[in-house]
Amino acid sequence: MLIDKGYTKVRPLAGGLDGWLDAGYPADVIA
Amino acid sequence: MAEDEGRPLVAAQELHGRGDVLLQIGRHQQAILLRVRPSRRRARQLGRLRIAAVMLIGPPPSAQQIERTVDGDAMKPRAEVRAFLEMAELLVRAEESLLHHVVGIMFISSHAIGHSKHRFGMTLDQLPERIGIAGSGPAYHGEVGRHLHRRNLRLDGRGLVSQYHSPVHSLVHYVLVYGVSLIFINVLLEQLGAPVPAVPALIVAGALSRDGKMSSTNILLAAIAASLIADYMWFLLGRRYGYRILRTLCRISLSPDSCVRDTEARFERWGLKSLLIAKFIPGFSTVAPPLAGASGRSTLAFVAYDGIGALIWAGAAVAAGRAFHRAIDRVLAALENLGGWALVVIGCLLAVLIAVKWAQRIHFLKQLRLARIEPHELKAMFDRGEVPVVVDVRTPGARKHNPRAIPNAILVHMDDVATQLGDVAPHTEVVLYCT
Repeated sequence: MLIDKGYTKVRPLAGGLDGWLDAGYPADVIA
Repeated sequence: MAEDEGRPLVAAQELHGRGDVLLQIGRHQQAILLRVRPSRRRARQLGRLRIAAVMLIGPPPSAQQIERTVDGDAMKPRAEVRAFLEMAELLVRAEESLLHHVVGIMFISSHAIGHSKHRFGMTLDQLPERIGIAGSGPAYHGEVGRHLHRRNLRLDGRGLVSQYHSPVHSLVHYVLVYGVSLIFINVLLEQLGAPVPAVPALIVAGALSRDGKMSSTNILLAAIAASLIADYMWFLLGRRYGYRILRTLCRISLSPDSCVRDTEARFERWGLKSLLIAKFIPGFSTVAPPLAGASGRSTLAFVAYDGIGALIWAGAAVAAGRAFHRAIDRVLAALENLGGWALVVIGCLLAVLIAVKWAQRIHFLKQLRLARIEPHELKAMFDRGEVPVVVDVRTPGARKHNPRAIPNAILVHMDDVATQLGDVAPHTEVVLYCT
């Protein structure tokens, strides 16, 4: 959808949020 | 002749016919007694049989009746070993006649070509041999069409006649004998995620049930039970491992694009009601149960909705089979005419289907792998001071399950992502993430 809208640099995060958290990187808590 | 006038004559003929049968027993007995020297015990046994026969027959037969029974073929009395076998055979025949004519539960082959062996009388290792025999050539001469047609599988009044001359017939035979178990295993494997489509089997079973060869109720019960077992297993895994189980599912799924694209959003939108139609949507049927578990839905509600959904799904397939049973008959007949090649054709079609799906999967994953960004790369961008637009496209349920997010991420719904990023310049780096 984004690419159709003209966005050229769209990339999914490998592993999603779980991958980010598993790597030990910081995260915000959603209110 | 009036119908009432004919009745006494019919009754008399019936009685006369019974007398003939008993006379045949008497004739065999007399022949055996003449040809052997029976022991006392055997003589007693035969004597009892004779007394019983006499009690049933009444007065002794006339010379004319005996002549008609022996058909002018006088026997020469002499001692023979075979007579012992005949004596045993006589008792067996009497038993068969009782079962066949009176009780009506035993089929007796009377034509070597037209009547096959009793399937329950064959050992399991003999059954596969029929495939090879059937596949070795066409059926009898010009009778191919008649013998190969599935109509020959129709059960007779005693419910036991069957004829098989091709591998497809043998397959149908297996479906008839082990049908409910096969349906159960097929549905169970499909719902567990194996690339084994169950709908064709359900449609064929539905067509067979239309002809009274299978029970629709049993088919539906087997399909629902298998479906509930597999789905409940995924439900429990979803409850235990949360949304992580989806990643495993998508890894083994042949449709990863549909798996990751919008199944989660669809479930969020429709809730447990989505289970009612989940099995009609590719990719969704396997993902919906763990989603239900991961989102903390109650077990009772899940079983109720999933059971009704399985009933609708299997019922639709069986109903389609029943509605189009003539067309299915023709397809089966065409496959039967192919002989042994029918299995090759079916196997090739299945292999092509799986190969196409697999190729699509590899292509999709390759594209995804080339395009995606690793967590350490994103962290490095943050550390360098670059500010990519990070978009959290998880569903509200997933966010509720794990209320954390990557710093400065924009929380948007997947359907609205294009409009939500309206102010972002097109050349900006955009990183999307879900669970």
